[in-house]
Amino acid sequence: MEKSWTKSLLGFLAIAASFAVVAFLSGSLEAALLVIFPLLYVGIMYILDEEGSIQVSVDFPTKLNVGDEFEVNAHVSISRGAGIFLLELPYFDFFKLLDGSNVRVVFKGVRHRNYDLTYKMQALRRGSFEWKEIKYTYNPTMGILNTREGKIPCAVKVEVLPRIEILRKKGLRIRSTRLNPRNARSRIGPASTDFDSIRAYTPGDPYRTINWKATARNSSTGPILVNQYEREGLHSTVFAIDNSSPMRQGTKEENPLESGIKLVLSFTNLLLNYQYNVGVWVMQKNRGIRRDVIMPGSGMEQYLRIRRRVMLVETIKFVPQVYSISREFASVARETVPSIFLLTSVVEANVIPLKKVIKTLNTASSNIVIVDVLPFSIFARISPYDISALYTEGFSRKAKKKMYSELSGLAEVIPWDPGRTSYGKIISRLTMSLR
Amino acid sequence: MRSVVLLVFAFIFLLLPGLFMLTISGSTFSIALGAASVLCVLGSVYFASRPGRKNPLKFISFLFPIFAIILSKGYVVKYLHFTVGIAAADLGNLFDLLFIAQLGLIAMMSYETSNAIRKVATENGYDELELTAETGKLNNFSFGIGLLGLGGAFLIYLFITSVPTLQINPIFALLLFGLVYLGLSRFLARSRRRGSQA
Repeated sequence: MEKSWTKSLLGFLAIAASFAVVAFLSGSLEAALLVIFPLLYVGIMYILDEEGSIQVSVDFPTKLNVGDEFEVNAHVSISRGAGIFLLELPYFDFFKLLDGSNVRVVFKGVRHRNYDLTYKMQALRRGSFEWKEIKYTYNPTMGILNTREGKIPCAVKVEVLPRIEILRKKGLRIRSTRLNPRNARSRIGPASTDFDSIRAYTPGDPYRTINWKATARNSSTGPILVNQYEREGLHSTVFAIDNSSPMRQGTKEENPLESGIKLVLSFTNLLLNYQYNVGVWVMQKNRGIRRDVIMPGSGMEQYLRIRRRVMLVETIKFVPQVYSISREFASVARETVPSIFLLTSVVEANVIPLKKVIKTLNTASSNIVIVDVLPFSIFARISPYDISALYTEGFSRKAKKKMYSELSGLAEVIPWDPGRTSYGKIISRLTMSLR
Repeated sequence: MRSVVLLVFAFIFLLLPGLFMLTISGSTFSIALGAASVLCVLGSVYFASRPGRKNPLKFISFLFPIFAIILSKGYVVKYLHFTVGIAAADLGNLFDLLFIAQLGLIAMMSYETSNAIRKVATENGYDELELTAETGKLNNFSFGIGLLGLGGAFLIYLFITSVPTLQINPIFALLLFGLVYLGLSRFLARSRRRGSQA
C-alpha cells in the first residue's frame, strides 16, 4: 500500500519549512532547533508507520441450539504498524451479545503484541450462519498518515439447531381417542420382528415367514399360512408447515413459525420413537429450495432429514395468500394416507384458502388437525405494558371462534399459545388425534 | 494519559509564545501579533474539541511569532528599515517557547486523532472503557515519541552548535542534515519492510 501524506503531515512539514525561512532571513541559529524537531518527529513516525500486519484466529462453536450461551475467544496478533486497530469480530443476526463486545479497540506500539479477546453471545434463532472475514481499521499514530481498512479471511460457520423438547415415552403415552380401525397403514418401510397376524400365503411372500405348524393344524387341503409382521413406521403422519406471513407475527426470533418448527421437531422425535412414519410438507416454497416435501419415513435418519429441511423454512410474503398442493405432496398423500397436522396461524385472510386446501386433502388423508399457533403470549412479551394488547386478544379470540366454526366441519382445530401451554401438553393433546 | 489532559498540555504549550509576546516590551504591532497568536490557539482548541472538523488554526498560530521574528532581526529589518521591536534576548526566549509550542502542536494532533477515533468508535458501538484505555495508550505513545523527538532535536542542535571544527554555514548544515536525514529514513523504512516480508 502506498503511503499517503495527509494534511497534518504537510502542515507539520510547513512549520519546519517556515522556521527554515526564519533561520535564513533572521540568521538565527536557534531557528534550526525548530526545523530539526518537526523533521525528526515526522521521520520517527514515518519509520514507525508501516502497513499493519495483523492475524486473528477465532474459536467459535460450530453447532449450537437455540438459547445456548457460549463464549467466543479470539486471538489477535499484530506484528507491524503502530496505532489503534478497530476490529470487527464475528457476530450474526439472531444472536445476542451477553457480555463484552465483538467490536474491539486495541492499541499497538512499537513492540509485537498479542491480545486475547473474549465475548459472550446467545443464539436466538435457528439457521446456518457464516462469517467470512474480519474487518479492521488501522489508525496510524497521530493521524499523520492515512487510516487504512483491511479484511482478514476467516471461515466461521455455525449451525443453530432448534431446541426440541425430549418427551419421554414413559411419561407420555400415545393414545388415540378415535375408534377407527388401524387401516392407515403405510405400504412402505421394512417388516419388523413384531408379530402381527397369520394370513394365507400369497405369491411373493418370503418362505421364512411360512408358519408350518399353523398350516399343518389348519387342514391338509387348506392354504399355506404365513406370519405377518408389523412394518416399521406403520402409521404415517405428515406435518404441514404453513410458512405464509401470518406465521411471522411477533419478532424475527419469536413467532408462530419458530414455535411451530420446535413443535414439529419435538413431536417428530416422539413419533419416530414409536416407529411412526413421519414426513413434512412446507406449504409455501422458499426461493432456492426445490423440495417442499420430505417423504414419510422412520428412524433417526428421518429425524435428521426433517431437521435439515425445517432449518431452511422462512416465511414468505402474505399477498397473494394461496395454498397450492404440489404434485409431489399429492402423490405422497395418496400413497401413505397420512394423518396431517397443519401448523398455521388462522387469520381472516387465510380461512378461505385453508378451507380449499383442506377440502382437497380430505380425499387423500385419514384425518387433518389444524394447530392454530396463537401469537398472544409473544405480543405480551414484546410489549408487557401495552394494555391494548388485552383488548386485541379478546377481540381476536372472538373472531377466531367464528373462523374455527367455518373450519370445524373439515378439520379439527386446536388452538395453541406456546407461551401458555407447554410443548409436552400440546403434544399430549395432539396424540389424541393421531391415527 | 487521558485525552483531556493532552488537550490541556497542548493549550498551555501553544499559548506560551503568544502570551510571551503580549508581555514583553515591544511595539503595538508585536502585541497585535501576540494577541492574534493567542486567539488562534483559543480557536484551535474550540475546533479540536469537535471531531471531524478541520483545524488549520493550530498551524496558523505559529505564523504570528514567525512574522514577529522575521520583522525583528535579519535581512527584512535591514532592507525595509522596519522592526516590531522585540529585543534580541527576548527573541532567544521566544525561540525556546516556540520549541515547546511544537510539542504542544504534537499534543494537539494526538488529541485530534484520539477524538476522531473515539467518534467513529462510539458511533459503531465500541466499549467506552476499552476505548478510553486504548486511546490513553495511544496518547502516551505519541506524546512519548514527541518528547523523544524533542530530546533528539536538542541533542542534534547541541551537536551542530558545539562542533567548531566543521566551520560550515548553519543554513548549509541544515540543508545537509535534511538531505542525510531523508535519505536515512527512507533507507531504514525500506530495510524494515524488506526484513518483515522475508
